[in-house]
Amino acid sequence: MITEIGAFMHKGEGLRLMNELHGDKKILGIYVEAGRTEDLFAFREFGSASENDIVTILVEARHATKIFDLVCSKMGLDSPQSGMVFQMPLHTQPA
Amino acid sequence: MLRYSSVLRSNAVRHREISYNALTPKPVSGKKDSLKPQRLRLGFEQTMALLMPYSGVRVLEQMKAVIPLALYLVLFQLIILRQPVDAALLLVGGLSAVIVGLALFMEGLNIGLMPFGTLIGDKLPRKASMPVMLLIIAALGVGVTFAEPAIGALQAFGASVDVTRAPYLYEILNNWTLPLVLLVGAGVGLAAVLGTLRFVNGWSLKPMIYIAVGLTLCLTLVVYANNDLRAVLGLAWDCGAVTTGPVTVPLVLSLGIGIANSTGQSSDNSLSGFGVVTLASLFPIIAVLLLSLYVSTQISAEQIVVAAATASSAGEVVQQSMWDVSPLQEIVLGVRAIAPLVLFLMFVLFIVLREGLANKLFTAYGLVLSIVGMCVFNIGLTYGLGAIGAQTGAVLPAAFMEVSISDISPIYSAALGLVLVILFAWFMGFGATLAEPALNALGLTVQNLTNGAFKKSMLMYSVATGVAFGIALGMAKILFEIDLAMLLIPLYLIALALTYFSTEEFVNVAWDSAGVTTGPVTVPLVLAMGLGLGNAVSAIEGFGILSMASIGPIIAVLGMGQYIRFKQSRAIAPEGN
Amino acid sequence: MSDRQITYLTDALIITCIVQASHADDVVKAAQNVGAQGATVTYARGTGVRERMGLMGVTIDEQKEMVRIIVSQEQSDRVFEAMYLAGELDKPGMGIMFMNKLDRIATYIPDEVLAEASAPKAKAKAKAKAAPKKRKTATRRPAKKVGK
Repeated sequence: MITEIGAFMHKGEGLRLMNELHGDKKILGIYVEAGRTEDLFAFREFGSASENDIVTILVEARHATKIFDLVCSKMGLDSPQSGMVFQMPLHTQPA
Repeated sequence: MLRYSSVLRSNAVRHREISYNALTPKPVSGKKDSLKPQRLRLGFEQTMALLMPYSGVRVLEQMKAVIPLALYLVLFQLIILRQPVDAALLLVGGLSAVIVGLALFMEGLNIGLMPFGTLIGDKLPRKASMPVMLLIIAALGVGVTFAEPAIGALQAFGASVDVTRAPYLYEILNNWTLPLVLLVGAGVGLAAVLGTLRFVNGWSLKPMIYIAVGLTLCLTLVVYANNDLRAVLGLAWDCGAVTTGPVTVPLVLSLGIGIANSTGQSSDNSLSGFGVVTLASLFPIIAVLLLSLYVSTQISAEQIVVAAATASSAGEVVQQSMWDVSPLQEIVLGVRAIAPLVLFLMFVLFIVLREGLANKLFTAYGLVLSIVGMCVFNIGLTYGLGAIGAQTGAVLPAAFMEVSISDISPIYSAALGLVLVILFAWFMGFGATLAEPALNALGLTVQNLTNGAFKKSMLMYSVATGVAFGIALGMAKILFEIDLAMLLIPLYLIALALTYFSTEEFVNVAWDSAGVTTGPVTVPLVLAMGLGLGNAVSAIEGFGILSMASIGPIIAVLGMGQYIRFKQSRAIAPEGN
Repeated sequence: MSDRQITYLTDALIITCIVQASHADDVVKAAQNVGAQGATVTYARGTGVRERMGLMGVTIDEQKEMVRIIVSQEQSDRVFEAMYLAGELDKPGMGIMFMNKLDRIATYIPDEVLAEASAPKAKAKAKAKAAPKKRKTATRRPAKKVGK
């Protein structure tokens, strides 16, 4: 079973996270994309919205909690205005 | 927070569940292609359901930009200047052509030209060596300048210069035309090369701006110190403003973005593909200033005046060919602005890079659309916006002085009249900028690159405000005969100071937007107005307004960036984390 | 590792909605009107029906916007419906949307919200009946106790 861990964070942080987790053997894949958000951060660099990074990490389900905690603490996502992280199961066999 | 209406609406939704299995294609034994996507056959109604919103939204968007501007010009002429509008029916036709042309052109830009440019920019660094890439880009820069129709407008303007009052300006515009265009082209080419090096190596734009602007300002001072040369300043600064038009900007931007994407170093700045337009509007200024200094060492002011006197006595009459008569002329201009560039890019893509297009049908559709749009737009400009602009421009001086066209002039006292004229210029600058296609394209690009965080409308309104102030100042320059250098130098110093304090994103966008503001909508309107006023108050030359319209938006966009930062930091502070 | 504690939020879902470019803001607004908190929007390129229509494909914007909103289980259906209606997904070529269950989410939670949410269960239940619960009021669990 594979689990997806997704995280929203400030622009530029996604690449930093990817570089830091690059050597981690438990991780099957990391993807970074850029997006915009209106109320994830209080500071909106362009007035009504701010740019942000979205990181998607694929891991084996048994490592999910560990990686989840790692992402959360490494990027400080539990501090104010820094983003959020979520975990989503990807079932390989039909439910 | 829950709005009652949305509760009602959500309650009214009926639910139904269908398995997605029922909708997906099933394999049919014996048929190999049974799972491949089938071409959809659309009925008439479905086609309409797709076409109507597609074209409606795009036309409506341009109507919002053009109609207020046209209405403003007409109402100003009717109510404030109390002058009837000539050829109203033709005007309406012309304005419709402007709207349709703009809509077609922008859509063509989106579907054809921009992806084309991005594709080449993407492939170029991978397939070609660095020198080859820079050579292609330099060639593109020079070619683009020749294709730019506004350059021709400047030359045509040269004939109206009074030789005794501005000898070197006259000399350059009449006898040094080819070197002038070549040098401007070389400036743009060099700018394109430097700009490319910049985003390949991830350099910041700021130091480049400091150096380029510093050099430009120094040269401006040198030229300003020479009494005979002083009048060249307006031409030099305006050249910088006109080199970057509605075709150049999107192409250069998309090319830059493609290159930045495939070689980019700094991914934390999504706008790093910018900056070429900035340099492309600064370097030609330097080139023209250097040319004028060179000319001044070659020939003295007295010699020019003598030569001009003999030339004018020869009195040659130029025959107008049928291609110079509208509407054929507009079509030629439209094709000329796009076709050579597209051919050059196709050559690069197919021959040099040996690449194909992802979707030939859509690209061809987009390219055809952009050429047709450009032609329709040009025709509309001549009969619609340009015509009403010329009418209003001609009677504008009647506000404060006696003019033969208007039998009730001067309509207002001198002071009130002057204020009215400057106010008029402000609103016209604002309206014309919103209708400018190059700005539309820049706004769209910025919005795409920031994933929609930097809104196109926000950029357009702040640039339009900047242009409005710039044009109003430019008007004041002509009316009160203020020296251009006295306005430009302090304004650019302010811009430099703001640049120092701004974030890289806003610096990139702000300086690039300076180059795009003066395009096919603004230039004829401003020139018509500038000429009318310049003749009326007998100013030496009507140049310089466009350069004021370039510095305006730089300060406006940088200022907006600062304002947002200030507002945001104040909004966060009370929360106290 | 630090001895900081991570608060997991459960009973969360993520709604993903893919619409044609420039329609995302309407969808986000509709979602916020019915209580959704933040949204993250990205640009994406889509293929599918566009390529099967020949030249008519140009009427459908190739560029899409992808809206991702994290919602609580209780508000999920309401938000989903509001987004569907605002995006006019019942019209041809407008887009598609789907919803996934999440194991857990983590983000910054203000202390006062935390205190309220981790109050005795009975009280929380009573509260939940009285008013629709927001995402951030889901039960708090200490990090170590949550296992697979």
